[in-house]
Amino acid sequence: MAGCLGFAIPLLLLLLLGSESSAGGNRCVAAAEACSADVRCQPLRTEYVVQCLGRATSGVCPRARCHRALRRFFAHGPPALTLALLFCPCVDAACAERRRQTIVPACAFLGPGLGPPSCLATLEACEHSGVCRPRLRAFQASCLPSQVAPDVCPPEQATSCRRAYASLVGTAVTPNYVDNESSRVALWCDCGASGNQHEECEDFRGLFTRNFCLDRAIQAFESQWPPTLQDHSQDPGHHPSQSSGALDHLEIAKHNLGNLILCMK
Amino acid sequence: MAPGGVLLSYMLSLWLLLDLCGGPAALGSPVVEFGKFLAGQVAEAEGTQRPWLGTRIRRAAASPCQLRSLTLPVAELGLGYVSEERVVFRYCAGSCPHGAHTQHGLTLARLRSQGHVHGGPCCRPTRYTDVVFLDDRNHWQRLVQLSAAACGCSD
Repeated sequence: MAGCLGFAIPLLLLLLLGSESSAGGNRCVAAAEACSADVRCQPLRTEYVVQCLGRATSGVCPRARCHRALRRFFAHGPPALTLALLFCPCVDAACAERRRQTIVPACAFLGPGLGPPSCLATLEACEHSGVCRPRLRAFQASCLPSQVAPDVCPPEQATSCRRAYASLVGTAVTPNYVDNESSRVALWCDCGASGNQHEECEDFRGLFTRNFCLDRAIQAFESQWPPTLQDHSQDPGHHPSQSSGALDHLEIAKHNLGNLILCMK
Repeated sequence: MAPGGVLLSYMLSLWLLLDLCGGPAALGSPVVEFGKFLAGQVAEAEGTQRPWLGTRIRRAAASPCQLRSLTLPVAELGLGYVSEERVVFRYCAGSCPHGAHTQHGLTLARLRSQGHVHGGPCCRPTRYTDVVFLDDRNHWQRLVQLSAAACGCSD
């Protein structure tokens, strides 16, 4: 009987846990949990958050380390999970704000200083960076309509456009969502002080703020939801139940209730 | 979650600790130094199981010391944080063989066989990792060294 009692307390706890709905329809929460449950994704996510929350000796965040960890996250994490974190579709402000915070923008997106720099300076920094320049090229190649048909965004390009966008996170040209009301993205820069290069500046800035192919590619991610969150093919030790979400608790609670009833007899 | 739920969590954690480390006397034993863990007894298996707590506790006594995994809502960590996310919490549990490889262990084993001390080698983490999540106000939180990363048996 003592063994039975010892069974009851954790069971009751589990039933309490099971009654709470996890995620509750917030797909950005679901994406975060899926990443946390994956042996490759979780440490990479933890690493970039830890770096981007850090404090350098000057008191500001260690931006270079934060950026490097972000690039590693998108380069080495399972794409289905990392892109799900970046492009999770949202219907309310809470979800959209979570999505905006994904890349730890206080460190990764905002620069030092009081206001955004000139986009021309951002562009130049990227052109001079061996890491940033090829990624910007790839982004321009897959996220812009072709010269031949400027009103058409080739649908098969959407996937490579999203990947190219993700590869920019953690470079001099790091984009992010601008608010918690829409899926609009932008760089942390403006064209106020661009002199006679104003048009060039706006063209570059418009790659993110006025790019309907990019907008469509981001929104198209929603039609692929849920992404294959249970892709554990390369991880033999991992139990697939870990990413099945809210169903887990319900099944566990039911099973243990059955056990308790047997125990009581 | 209601305060009763948090209390239950603490009770459960305390009960788990008692159950897995061999009785009340174990609570009085000195804090284990992680540096003393034995090469031969380190079990760094990355075994994960479904979080059936009841069944797991019964099986823990039979299966060897190894890393185990639970997916918990952040509130269930009992640390006062609130978040919609569930995080993976890893801990160490399982039986440790009663052999000894250090002088301390040899003496302790002898005293045990004479009934002067209780308990046995304990399955404990040898390494920890941080856990991060976005809380309900969309601020990032970092829980340093919260989750176990590897397990070992201590004398």
